[in-house]
Amino acid sequence: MAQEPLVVFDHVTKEYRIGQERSNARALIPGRRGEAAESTTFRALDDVSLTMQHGDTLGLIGHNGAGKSTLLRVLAGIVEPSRGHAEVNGRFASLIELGIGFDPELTGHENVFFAGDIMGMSKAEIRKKYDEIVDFSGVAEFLDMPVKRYSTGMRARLGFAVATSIECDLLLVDEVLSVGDFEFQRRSLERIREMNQAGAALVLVTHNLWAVNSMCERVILLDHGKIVVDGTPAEAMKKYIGEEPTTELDPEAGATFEDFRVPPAIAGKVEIDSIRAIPDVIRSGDSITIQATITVNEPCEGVVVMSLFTAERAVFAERELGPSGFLATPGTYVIDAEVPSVPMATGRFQFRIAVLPQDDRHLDQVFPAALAVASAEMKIDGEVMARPGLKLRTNWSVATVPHSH
Amino acid sequence: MSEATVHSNHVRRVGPISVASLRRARSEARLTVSFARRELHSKYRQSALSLFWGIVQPILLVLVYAVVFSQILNVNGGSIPYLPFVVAGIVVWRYFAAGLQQATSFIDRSSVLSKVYFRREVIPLSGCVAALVDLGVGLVALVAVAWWKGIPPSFTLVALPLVLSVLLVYTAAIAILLATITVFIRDVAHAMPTISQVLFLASPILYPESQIPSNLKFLGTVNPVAVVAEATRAVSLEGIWPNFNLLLVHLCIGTALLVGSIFYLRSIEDRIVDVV
Repeated sequence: MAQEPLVVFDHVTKEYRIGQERSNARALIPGRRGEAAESTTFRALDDVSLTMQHGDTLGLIGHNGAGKSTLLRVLAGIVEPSRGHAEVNGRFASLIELGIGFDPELTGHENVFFAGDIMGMSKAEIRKKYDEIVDFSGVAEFLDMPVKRYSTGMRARLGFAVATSIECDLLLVDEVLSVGDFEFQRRSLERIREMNQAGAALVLVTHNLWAVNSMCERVILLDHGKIVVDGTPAEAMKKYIGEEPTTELDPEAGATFEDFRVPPAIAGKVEIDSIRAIPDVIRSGDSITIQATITVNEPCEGVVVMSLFTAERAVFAERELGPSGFLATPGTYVIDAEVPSVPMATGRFQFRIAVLPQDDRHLDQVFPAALAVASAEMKIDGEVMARPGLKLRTNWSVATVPHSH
Repeated sequence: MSEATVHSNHVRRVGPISVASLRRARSEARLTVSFARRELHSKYRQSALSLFWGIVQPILLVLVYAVVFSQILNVNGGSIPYLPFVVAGIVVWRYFAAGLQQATSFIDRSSVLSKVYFRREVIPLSGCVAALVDLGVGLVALVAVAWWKGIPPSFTLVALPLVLSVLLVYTAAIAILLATITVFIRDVAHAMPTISQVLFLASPILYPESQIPSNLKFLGTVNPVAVVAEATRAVSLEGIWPNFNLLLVHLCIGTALLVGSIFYLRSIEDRIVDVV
């Protein structure tokens, strides 16, 4: 038996009027739409058609104002299309905002029931899930405290726990994962993944391309309310950021930690011919290999190091010391630096490989001298949790590239 | 023609009456009570003096009315002592006024309206449900004051539920209509205090219906607040039966208005979130 599709959008258009009018009295007349022909309208969604099956994972990306959140709100039944037909054949959990319906005056305990009520859970259902909710939120000791005294993180955790406790066919997530600390983000993603594995479809709206890539099999790129790309994450991202995730050396300069310089006196002894991240795009916890091809022209004493930076060039992880012996023998080498479990949750990072002179006394200078330096940047938009002091536990390997004449 | 059919959580469209639709209605009723409880909770927890404001303030108000109107303006309650007379009127009026106050309820809760869908009438109705507490306390106070003034409870009080049901349906209907209109015409919110004042003075709250000049007598018949106030006094203070015919006619009109206001709200509810 063919299952009914979970979501059907049939030429959905949503228009808003631009500008504040003194009164919307016209909208009080049933039957006619609020939009008057002469007023300027803004199309938040423009003729969007899509179908989702149970268990699908869909990412929505696009610039601000592209219509991502409007689409999500139509899915949640909050916004009705101006034209077209939208249908959701199932129950959904909404993470459009964390802590929807929380009343700051009520205690955490009361808010769990109240928010559950608003989201359409039955009292019995909330009671059944109560321990689980409290468990996940980690605010067990504060349940009798009014929510207004909660920290942002506590409120977010409790809100997330309530919203995801609903047994649903569809999970709607709007940019809520940028809230909270690293641990919360990790657990939230895990929870969303669990729900997806249990059969819930997922619609994820975010600017965080990394999250989209790691969670979604299908990505829709919206621009001015229109679907530009509906395909694999790679296709959508390629269109969105104008190029595929690149591994080119970032040309932008700026004095930051570990901005190595290659002094002319030692330039040319060792050259980094290429550097790339394999794969270009990763999921948290996956392994990534930074592969550099290094040509040693003159024997020298040195060491390969790798560092990890955020897009803002903040140090993300401690410098990893790599191999050194091969630098004594001229030749071309492929250095693989494998990070077995990438610890970051979201973002855009830069791996940098440098060959540092072993005896260099200036390593703690602002611009330490290096024999060679190159970086591999993954152009993935998003925020990143900077956690200086993180160990990457890199596995290094060196392979000699035979001369091919 | 657009139509969203979101078969989920709090469901949007009304289908034929079925087990599912009844279950949905129950869930909406539960949500209404939930909102009302939240309102009461936060209202009475916010300030240590909330109980004072909730009880002492109306008492003071009633005393002021009693002194000004009976001592200075020489208004009397007909056969009834003026104090219980005015308490009866004020208790009825306060409930109706709570309905008028729902005019801004959608605007006040815009954040939750724009983030989750549920039947929109839940919001103004929850305000009316919360006001039931005050109504209940007021009625107990009425009986107590009446007794104190030498009027023991009479068996005619059994008609009180019918009287109150008229008040309830009208108040709920007005609450829904005002809340809906105010979303689109904000000026209503500014006009409300004046409208409320006019209605208060136009209704026989502080004066008996018998003092209304004969050419305005029809006001006492068409104005549901007047009908309810008079009937409440009849059953609780005079020990006589109210005008059942008039009450039943108003109950029918009020119920029709309530049902109509709910359907009206549903017909334009999708526009609320666009402007709220």
